[in-house]
Amino acid sequence: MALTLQISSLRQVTVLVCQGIIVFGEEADSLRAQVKELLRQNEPSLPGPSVVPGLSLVLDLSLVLYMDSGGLGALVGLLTSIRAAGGDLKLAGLNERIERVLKTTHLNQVFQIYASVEEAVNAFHAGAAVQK
Amino acid sequence: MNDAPASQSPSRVLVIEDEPSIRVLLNRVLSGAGFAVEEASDGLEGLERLSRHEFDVVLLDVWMPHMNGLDVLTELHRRGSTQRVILMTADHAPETLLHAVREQASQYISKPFSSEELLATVQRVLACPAQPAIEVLSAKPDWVQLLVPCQREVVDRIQSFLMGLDSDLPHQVRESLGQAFHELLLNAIEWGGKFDPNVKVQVACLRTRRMVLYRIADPGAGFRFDSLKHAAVSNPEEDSIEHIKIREEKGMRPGGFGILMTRFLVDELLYNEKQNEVIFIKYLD
Repeated sequence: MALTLQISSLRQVTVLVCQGIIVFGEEADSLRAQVKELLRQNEPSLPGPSVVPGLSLVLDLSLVLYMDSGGLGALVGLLTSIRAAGGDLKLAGLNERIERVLKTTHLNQVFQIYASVEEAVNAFHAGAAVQK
Repeated sequence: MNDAPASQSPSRVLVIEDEPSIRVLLNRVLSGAGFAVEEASDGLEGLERLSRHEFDVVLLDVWMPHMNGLDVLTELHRRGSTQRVILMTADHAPETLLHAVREQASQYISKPFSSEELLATVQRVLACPAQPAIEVLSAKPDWVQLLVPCQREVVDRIQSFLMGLDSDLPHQVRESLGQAFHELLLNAIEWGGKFDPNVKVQVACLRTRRMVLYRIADPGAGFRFDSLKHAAVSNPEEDSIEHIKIREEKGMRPGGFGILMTRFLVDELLYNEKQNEVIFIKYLD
């Protein structure tokens, strides 16, 4: 498999660093499985690290070399399942190529996209402040 | 990145490369990622090692003294070997690439490459359960025609070689062609061929001074655009992901963005009447 996933936490926001390619097959499946596990860990009965109820996740795509339509579909699937569970997903560190792919499919209007993980985490906290 | 979990023995890689500094560098990157690496400094030594030991994958340089990489490939093919081989070269001559396809190389990686690209390529090749055979119908640099089995793994493999043929084109043009080809070949293999390795998709790549044309013909019954509610191309303007709900209802895998993406990537996209054949064109001037 050509995708490595690394989980960390930054100021109560979960950060998932993706390295490699996100394409239809094993790679997209492993990403979905990882987020499913994070969602399970963030169920209300289990105290999670989120700043808002549900999973607050930043997907760091700065080390992603390539993404196909299967990878895009996986990202959309993550977004809908995280939001359905009361959380939210933000994307960070997109290279020019991935940004172009999101633009051509109009998904840049669906995802919240930030230049860096730091900015995405800040946005979670700004959103939490507004909610309070 | 480590492809081999600690509990399993590491995947074995043979690096055949005459340039000592490159050999050392490749060894360092691969060993650092958990692979067991051996080195050979030319084709003859490489073949000798392959006769004595088993390797999960071979990284093979093309231009080397004594015996070059293409001759190694030919010899392996002659022996009936199914060895996975990744060809690495800065030589983008169509003849080199087409020779490699004909002799069933697994992948092609263009020098120079990053350690991330290298590891991603090695891991993709290792993940492929069995190397499907590709039939070369025409190997003229300006008219390449292939018959490929309907297996997911074949997409990356063919893509790496055909994109190598377009290495003289601007980076963005190559990227667009590569992505369009990936999406449409995957569609053909998945929907037309139902991932059945016994049926074949025909791929042609024609190059003229002013354009690059790809044709992909699958063995399926075709489709109609008005029945593609599960594809992003049918979404209303105000909802870019409406098709995802339909895919979920139908139990389909996430995706459906392929045709929409392709429309933006190429200059012409044409389907035949049954829509089991597609042509796309990128103009070069």
